[in-house]
Amino acid sequence: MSNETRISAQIENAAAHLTPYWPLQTFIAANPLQGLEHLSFEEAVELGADLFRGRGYPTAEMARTAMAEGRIDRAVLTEVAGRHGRPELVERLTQGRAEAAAIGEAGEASRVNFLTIKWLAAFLDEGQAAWPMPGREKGFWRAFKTLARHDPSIPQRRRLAPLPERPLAALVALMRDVPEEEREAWLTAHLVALSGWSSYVKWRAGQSAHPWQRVAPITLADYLAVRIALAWLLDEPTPALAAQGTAVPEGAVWLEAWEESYRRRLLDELQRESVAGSSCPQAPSAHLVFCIDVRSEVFRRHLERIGPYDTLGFAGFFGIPIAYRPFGESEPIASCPVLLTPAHTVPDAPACGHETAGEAHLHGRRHIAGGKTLVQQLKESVATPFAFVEAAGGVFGLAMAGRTLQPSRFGRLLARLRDAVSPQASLVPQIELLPAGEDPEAATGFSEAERIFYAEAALSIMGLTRGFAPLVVLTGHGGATVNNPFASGLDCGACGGNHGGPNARIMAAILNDPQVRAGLVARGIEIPEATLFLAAEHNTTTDAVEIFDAQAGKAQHPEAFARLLRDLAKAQAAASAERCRRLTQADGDSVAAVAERAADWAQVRPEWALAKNAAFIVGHRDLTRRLDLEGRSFLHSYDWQADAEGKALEVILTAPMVVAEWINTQYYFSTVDPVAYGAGSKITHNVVGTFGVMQGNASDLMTGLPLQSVMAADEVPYHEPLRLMTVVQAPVARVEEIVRRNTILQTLFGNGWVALTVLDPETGSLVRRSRSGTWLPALEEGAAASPAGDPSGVAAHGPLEAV
Amino acid sequence: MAVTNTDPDLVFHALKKIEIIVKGDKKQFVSDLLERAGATGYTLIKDIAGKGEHGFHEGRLLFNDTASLVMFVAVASDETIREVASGLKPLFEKNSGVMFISDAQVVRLEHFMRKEPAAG
Repeated sequence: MSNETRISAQIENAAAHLTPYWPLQTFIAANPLQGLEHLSFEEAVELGADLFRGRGYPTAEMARTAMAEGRIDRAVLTEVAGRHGRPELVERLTQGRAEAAAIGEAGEASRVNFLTIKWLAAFLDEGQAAWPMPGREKGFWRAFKTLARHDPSIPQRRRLAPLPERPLAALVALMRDVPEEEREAWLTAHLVALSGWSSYVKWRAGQSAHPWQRVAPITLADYLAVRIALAWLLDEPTPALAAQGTAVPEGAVWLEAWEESYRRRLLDELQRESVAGSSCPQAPSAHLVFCIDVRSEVFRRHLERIGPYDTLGFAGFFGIPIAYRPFGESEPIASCPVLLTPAHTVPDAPACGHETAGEAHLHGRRHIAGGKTLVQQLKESVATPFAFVEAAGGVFGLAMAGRTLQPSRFGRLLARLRDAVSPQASLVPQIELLPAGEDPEAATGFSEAERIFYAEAALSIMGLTRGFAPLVVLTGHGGATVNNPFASGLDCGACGGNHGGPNARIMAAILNDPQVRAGLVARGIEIPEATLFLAAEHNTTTDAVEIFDAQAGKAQHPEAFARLLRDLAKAQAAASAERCRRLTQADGDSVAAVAERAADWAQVRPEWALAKNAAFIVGHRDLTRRLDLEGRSFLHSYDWQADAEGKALEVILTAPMVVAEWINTQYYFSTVDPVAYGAGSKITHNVVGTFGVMQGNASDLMTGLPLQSVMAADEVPYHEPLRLMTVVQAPVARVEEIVRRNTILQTLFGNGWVALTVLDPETGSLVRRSRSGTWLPALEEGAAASPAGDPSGVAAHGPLEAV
Repeated sequence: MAVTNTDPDLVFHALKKIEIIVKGDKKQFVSDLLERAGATGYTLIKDIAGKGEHGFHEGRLLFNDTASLVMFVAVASDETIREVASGLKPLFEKNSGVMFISDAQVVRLEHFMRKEPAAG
């Protein structure tokens, strides 16, 4: 027994190297080296090369292109290369071609890998297979053990029978000959041999409430027992970890020079803006709150240039840790950052007086769902496909032609059809606390105190506590794409990879609630009676903004609302024109061109999503309003004067910034190694079990972003692989205090995963925090965070206080 | 002052108590471990604050559950607590966290008796 306990801890330690992989339906950006963040960036990249055979730095070719485009400044490169004692590297970028760094191939399929993949894909299937694997409720190891004796591709499979039924006990037997001190490394080698699949099992094992985990429970012990048993039967040696890193030491120099070139330009602009006067319109006709997402910046900039609007940035879940239950559904959807566990379920229900319409909507939806199931069954049944194609082939052929030749018109037609069968009903989120029978867990909504708490937290964290405009629009966001397994990667990360509209509607309802407003007065936030909160959703593929409760806006502030609608349309035209300049094959009318992309089922790149993200700016909009940040900055609003204790800033740095770091590192690693850390090309993707993709029919599960999300062509990156730089507008002492009391921030800043810069409004100074915790002037030569791999460089900056 | 037990039903049974403080992301590992080792129940305290090797650790963060610390308290037989500790030892070689083991007494012994270890 104690052997099993020890092995379970060894598995836990071995699996710490893996980043859990969220299924495609709620695609979450995450650092593929998250398990190594306790190491310095350079050490982690090196170990990542050993474990995952991944490249961790931009190649010389990428750096050369960046230099040719002026993105790496030659003077900065000279300075950085000199500081690292590698002055010859400057010439390498300016002369000749670098040897092309070949992109690796997806996890080669050894016999053990091949069989493990086959059994995992069958066991983990989430409804894609017509015939599910039997016995899954017993768990992976037991189900495998029962069935494997029928698999002729497994040699000596009779030897499985005497192995114990419990996976941990089986591992004890299978690992009998592995010395205790080697076990952890040995288990690690088996886990990283198919790191994508292991990462998914790690995620799934932590989701006891996941409907498929209940149908087919799996743990890492199950997975390892199967894999190690197969290796034993096939007599395959333990997969070796790569002995030497494939990382190029030059890469660290290219990276730092590239980052510095970008950062110094941005910091220079920010410093200039910090002393310029306010650019905020005197009495804005509306406040619009957008998600911190880098895509919001483009739209906000255009909108503010069109009319008297003040925009803010806040995490797109609007501060409510909820699971949202769409009307007529039984399973709620977690709609908050994955750092949080939903604390409230909020259902949607027909508005007062619209109950009949609600019934009609549900009725229609049942017809649509029934039709889909029928078609699915006819397609997959052994007996029917031939007759089905004979009878219905013509209709499908027409639909295919429509989708291919006139995608957006076909999309509109489908939407009209859907609305005809299942007419839209007016829905209202049920924010008030509703008990559901005896079970307190089943209650929905918020108590009055909770509503007031979340309202106050959201407004004070975003710094909107006075001077409310007559209209305040909370704008969530989501992408629009068809035939795209990575669709949720375009949606809101703060909403767990879902559309942000529901959260915006719920928060707007809370802030319009008279009880909440009365409660807020007692907390010093007075929202004028005339102020109306509206909810909207920004379509990040087409830049259309849909306002959900238009009737209320029209009724209460007809003029301001009509103007807002006109200006949103103008901003859409301007933002989509900017977008089209960055996309290929997007000519002509920009609004039509982006709509076409969103509806095109052959489109591998509906939008660039968060590509090129590189900075996280926390401060007042005055700091950035006049700048064109090129859609590369996360923008979080912050009022340093209203947060003396730093509570709001602490929330911003420990949650939204952490999510931004996940996104940034995912884009970074998917670009520098699109196969080991990215998902490879979409062209050869196969969806497996509905939760992931493989390259071909048996590869490792491909985690990370597809090649088309980060690369303009196979070898030419569109995303610039730079680590995140956080810029905070606040007193330095306050920021330092917050870093000191949060391990997670010490890890990210101290190990070089994120750079921290502070614009101190009290002293006017612009300073960077070195990795060891000293504050240095940000724009002086050599002020970069402690040089990579050169600890002596740190000491050169003088006595430092370690944190 | 010596106390004489006048109530024959009120017997103090000697057991062991383990207190475990780990990061929020190890919560599932520890609860699985307790269950497998045969602990019949435990108390879980979330969002705890304190000072240790890595300096002061904040209690609750508003938008981040995973960075917080949690504390488990479980009482069980010596054998079960040993089993739990043997699973934590390798964990603490790689992760931050602490465990304290002490003597405890309970009245209703049957509530703390080891059940058959859960399968798996």
